[in-house]
Amino acid sequence: MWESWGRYPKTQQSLDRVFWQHEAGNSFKQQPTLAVGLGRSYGDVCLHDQARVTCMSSMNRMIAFDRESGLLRCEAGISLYDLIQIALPCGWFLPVTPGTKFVTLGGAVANDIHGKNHHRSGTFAKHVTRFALLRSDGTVRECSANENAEWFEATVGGLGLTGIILWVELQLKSVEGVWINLERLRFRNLTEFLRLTRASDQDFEYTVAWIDAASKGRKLGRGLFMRGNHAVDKRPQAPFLSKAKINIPVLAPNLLLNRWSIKTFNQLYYRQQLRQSWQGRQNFDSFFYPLDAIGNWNRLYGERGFMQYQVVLPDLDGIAHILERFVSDHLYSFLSVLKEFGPQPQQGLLSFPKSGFTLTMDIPVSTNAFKVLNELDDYVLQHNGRLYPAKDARMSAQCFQTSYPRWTEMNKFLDPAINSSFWKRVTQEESSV
Amino acid sequence: MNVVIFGATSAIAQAAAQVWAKRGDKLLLIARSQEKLVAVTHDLATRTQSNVTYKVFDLAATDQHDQLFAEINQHFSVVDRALIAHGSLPDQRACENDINQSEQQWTTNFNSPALLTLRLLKLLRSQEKGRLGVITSVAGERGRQSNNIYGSAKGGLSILLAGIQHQLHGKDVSVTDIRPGFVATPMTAHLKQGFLFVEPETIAKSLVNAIDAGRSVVYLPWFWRWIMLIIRCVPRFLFHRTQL
Repeated sequence: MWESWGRYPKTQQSLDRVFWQHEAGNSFKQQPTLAVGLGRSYGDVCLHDQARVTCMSSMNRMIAFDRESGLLRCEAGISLYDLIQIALPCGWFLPVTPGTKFVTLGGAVANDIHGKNHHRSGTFAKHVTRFALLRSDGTVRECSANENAEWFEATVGGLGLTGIILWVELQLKSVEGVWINLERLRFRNLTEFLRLTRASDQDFEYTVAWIDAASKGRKLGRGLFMRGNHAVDKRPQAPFLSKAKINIPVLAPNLLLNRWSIKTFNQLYYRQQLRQSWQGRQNFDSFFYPLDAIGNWNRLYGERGFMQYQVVLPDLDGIAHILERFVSDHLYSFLSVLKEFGPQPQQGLLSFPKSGFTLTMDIPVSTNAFKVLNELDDYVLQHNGRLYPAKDARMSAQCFQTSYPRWTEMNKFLDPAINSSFWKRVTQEESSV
Repeated sequence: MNVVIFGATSAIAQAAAQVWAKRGDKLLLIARSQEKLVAVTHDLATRTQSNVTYKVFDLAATDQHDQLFAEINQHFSVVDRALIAHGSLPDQRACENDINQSEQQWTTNFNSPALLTLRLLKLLRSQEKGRLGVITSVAGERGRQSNNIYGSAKGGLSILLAGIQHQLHGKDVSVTDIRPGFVATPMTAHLKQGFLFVEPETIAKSLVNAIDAGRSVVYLPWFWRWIMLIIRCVPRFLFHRTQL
């Protein structure tokens, strides 16, 4: 059964698989379809209710890898896990990495993902030198910043709607080993966070903060700030995790993650470190991908599923407003992450990151959640913010169209044989604007 | 070591090839489709920087196996490991309606691998060493209403291999009967993927180990040994009432 990571919304679609580039066109025989990868997007960008999806994750071969220059070309279905396993022993790492290594290369391009180094390195697409795009009319376009540049711009962050990405060429980043020098600092509020993030941008490649989203009042916005750099340390580490250390085998009861358990977890997490700061060395796997250690952690939310609310807003007042609103309406986020984006220009027509602060909250599906999030959407729109499609399962068409004003430019590039539940939701509903 | 893989673009063969290539073995890949062979060769060479070559050949053309073996001999002076991995899972009902189709399936799933096995056996015996693995199937263990064209070819192959194993007793040449259960491959992509399905990568290591160790029969994954034991033991009067 095909589902998204948040396991919401529940949809019905048939699934076929592509194994070879020269057979990828077959998936257009039954239209419409949608190319999907490992199903790690949270909402419905990877769903296609009452239609088809074409799973690309078995088309996962390497095509070329220049170990001197770090230029790598792979079929789009390869996972970042697979890719790191080959590249890292040769001294190369992903220029931008998300919080899980179980996504495909094609998915990383189609959602123009970002990571803890956005302030330095921008989004994933910035490091994509070239890719091939198969259209349902049978044409294959090679796209780069110079060649078919407008197709490049429509396809990176284009949510798979412009065609099937066959292969991707990526410029990797040189690293001196598998270790990260990490500092973890406590902050008591968002003002302290701001001071820390501004002071760290210069000297640290990776910055991110965990927020205790269950606290309010004076403690609002407290958390742990993490900043790190690749260490010059050639010591090898044991082969990194292919499978999770533990696996959640079945759906947990809905009540497992309730307001009290989430509050307690957040308290404990904040208190893990009593000192003001902690310094140490961590291997890249636990630094970048801590949740990968728990297989199928999405099942912890139980049958109802969960949503991730990831928003970008130009200033911290907006972030404070959202945090306040969550607590006052008894929405408790299990894991909440705050990061300041850099001023890098937007790569794709629909790329999410822009200058400002991005807050990510995980919340179980509930009627209350919908009510509050819908009201917060209005706030976000008024304050020039927007939501991340890869995480979204519910924003209104109006919300999407207002906050992604270039969405109409996509029309020229949409493949007539491709659609998704997300795209139908945010474009086919009557917009009230 | 020198490794020859027949049907090298099958998903299980690709996964096994990765294991061999990773440990530095030299590979010769044989399959029908040039496009697929190029993709697989690039993949292996890129990942492992090992020596991989391919040869386009339709293994169902059993009358040309002579030629193929001449070329293998040219390429490798010694063959240390060989894997026969090609096969196709037919539509049972279509085969029943169209007898020609059944014949084709038997050629692909029995004649071709059986004749290759005999030739390889000759080769390995003349070298006085070497290991061969042949992919059969758990479907060959009991005749079933739903899948007996395929099952009979694979079962026949297993019996041939068992006989050869008997002959090879005490020699440094071995033949391993590899019996996979449900593996998520292009061959099974049309089936509903239940909980018994595993990825080819999951079984590749055990496959290579079993060939190295010269084991007679290996079930992949291991639990199929016990599932098949039960299936073989079900009395006929009960078995015939099932939809298996």
